Amino acid sequence: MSPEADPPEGELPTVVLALKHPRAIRWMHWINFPLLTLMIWSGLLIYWGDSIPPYQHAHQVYRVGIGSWTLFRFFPDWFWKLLSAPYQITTGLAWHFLIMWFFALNGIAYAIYLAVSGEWRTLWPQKRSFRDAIDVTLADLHLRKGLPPQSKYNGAQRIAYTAIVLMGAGSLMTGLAIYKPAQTHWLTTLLGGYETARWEHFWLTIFFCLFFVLHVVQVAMAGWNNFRSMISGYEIQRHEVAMPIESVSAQQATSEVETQLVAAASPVEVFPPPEEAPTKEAVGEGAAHESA
Amino acid sequence: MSQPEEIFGTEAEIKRESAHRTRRSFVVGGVAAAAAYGLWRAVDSGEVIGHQPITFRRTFQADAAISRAVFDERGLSPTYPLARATELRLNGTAGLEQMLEPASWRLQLVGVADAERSPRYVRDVTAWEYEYGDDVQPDQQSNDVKSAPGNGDTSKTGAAKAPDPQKNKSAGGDQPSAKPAQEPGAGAGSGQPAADAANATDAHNLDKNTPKVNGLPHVTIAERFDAMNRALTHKRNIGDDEAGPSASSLDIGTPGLLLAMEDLMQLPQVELVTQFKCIEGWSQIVRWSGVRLRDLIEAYPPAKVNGADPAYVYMETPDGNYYGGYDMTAARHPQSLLVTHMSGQPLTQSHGAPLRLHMPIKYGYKQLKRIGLIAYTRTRPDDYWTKLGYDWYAGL
Repeated sequence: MSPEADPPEGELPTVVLALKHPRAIRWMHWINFPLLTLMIWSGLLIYWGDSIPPYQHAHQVYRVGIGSWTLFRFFPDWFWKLLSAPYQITTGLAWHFLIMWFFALNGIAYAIYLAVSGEWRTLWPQKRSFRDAIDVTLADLHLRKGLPPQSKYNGAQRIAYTAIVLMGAGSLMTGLAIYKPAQTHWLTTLLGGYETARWEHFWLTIFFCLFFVLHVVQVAMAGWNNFRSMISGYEIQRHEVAMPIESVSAQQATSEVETQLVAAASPVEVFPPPEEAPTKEAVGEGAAHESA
Repeated sequence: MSQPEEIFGTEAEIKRESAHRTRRSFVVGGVAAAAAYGLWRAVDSGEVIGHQPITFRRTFQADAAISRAVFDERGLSPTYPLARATELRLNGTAGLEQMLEPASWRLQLVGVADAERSPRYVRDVTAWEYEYGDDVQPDQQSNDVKSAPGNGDTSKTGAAKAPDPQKNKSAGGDQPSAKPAQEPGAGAGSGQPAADAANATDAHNLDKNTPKVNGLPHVTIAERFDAMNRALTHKRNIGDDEAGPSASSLDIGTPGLLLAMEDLMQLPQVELVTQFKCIEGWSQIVRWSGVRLRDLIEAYPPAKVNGADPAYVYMETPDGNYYGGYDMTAARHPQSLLVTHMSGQPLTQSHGAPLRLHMPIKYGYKQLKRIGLIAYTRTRPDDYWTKLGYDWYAGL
């Protein structure tokens, strides 16, 4: 049979290959990865110049502290050596001012795609997302059992994936404010001035890095089935209890932190989860098996 | 490949279909990654212009073209209350290695319309001899982050400065760092093989270091070589710092004006409190006093070249070691200042006495210290830091 054919009449599917991430989102996601990496790397090469460790001249803008008291300044010498950053300012500037265009275009294209396709609805936080995010976090930390019901993304993901788009916009704005502080001084002033804009640009980058770490950990924990959906677009979904097709579509619920919901009998009473809901480990094994 | 919302089938069919689609995606992704890698290799290994692969050099130029098209350098930099002004730190000494005898300073002005009618007209401005003294010592109270320790407590130059409470919060200067070879102490030009022997000629060093041959010191040969080079190139042997000699330095025999400080003092005096921004990443609010470059250009308007106004201004230190090129629009910007005083005090030698440039719409590396020459020109002038990998435009 053709795999794309309709399901045989009268029979409800127990396993389905469901499109999770549209092609456009996958491309923009993966294109963004090297672009952002290059932006962060080249940014660090530029940033090194503000301290120039041999001159023992400390950063003023990039530090952690309160008032005149400084806890620490970025970064240790070994970090700069590892990066081969010393005296590479021109390399950093060259890459930064080339890649910025592609980073901006990719980001703008992503935002437009979300808006036009309606995909924004899957990641824009809902009223309950903030409460859900706390529950998801507690569950991830094994401080509570079970997860709130969700659609494509849970509350924590909605907040994170919306925040990352806003952070990207923030990086573009603070970047422009630093790049053209005279010609766009209105923007620089709006952001708190030149040094403040640099500070914001820098800390946004730190948060990008933290997001990256968290994202990779979560993806690793969610397993292959979830990760693969960002490659091929498709996720294998299995339904142990038959349900009407409409519910199946409404319940395309899988995420990197929570795959077991799919298996739940009814979408409305999963929280707190029924006793028979499979554990994360069981799903993880299933996913590993599928990939074999 | 089409992307249906859902694909149904038996367990085995679904797995086969998923594996097929995943393989496909990995292949496409792999090809894209390989193409990106190839692009990166190509970008990074092209012809190098001024320490920058040509792709990046062209990117700088494209970025500048976009900036010019969008902003036209019309925007004014913000100004600040005087209370926020700080002492500008020192950051590099290119073009300022030796003390300049103040009385010997003249501003060479080249390309002025009807220059011959001016009492300041000379047939060859390059013949003017600047006189030098000892090596410039960093100002005692300046936080000179690029000099070796111990230099800071020697002779003070210029007027005493008020202690600066901000000093320790903001140390540094206005020449970006390219590589260790540029640091004082490493020796000017030592980081780079000389492009040609003539440029590297240093009569004093030859005199000191080379033995005499047949009773003739090598300096004589060097001087002969020097003379030969002048005859061939029509250029003086100036500009032996890391970036090498300027392609825009004047030919011997270039006529022009030799202005003294009192000529500049005829122009309206202007004061600005603006932020100085170094490409290294630091910035300082500074009080500047002097005259507008625009007013100088009005008072000494450029001669037309083939019926058109020259589009650029070129500046150079008296020794030709440090030089910069500017668009006429940037030069005519109302905040582009020929500075004589900083923080209410006359400039010190290490800050570029008697005349330096402040251009808040450009990075610090464009803000030339100790200006010896201003020339109107039709062709885009050479620029010290452009040769060392930075952007010529440097517009903020």
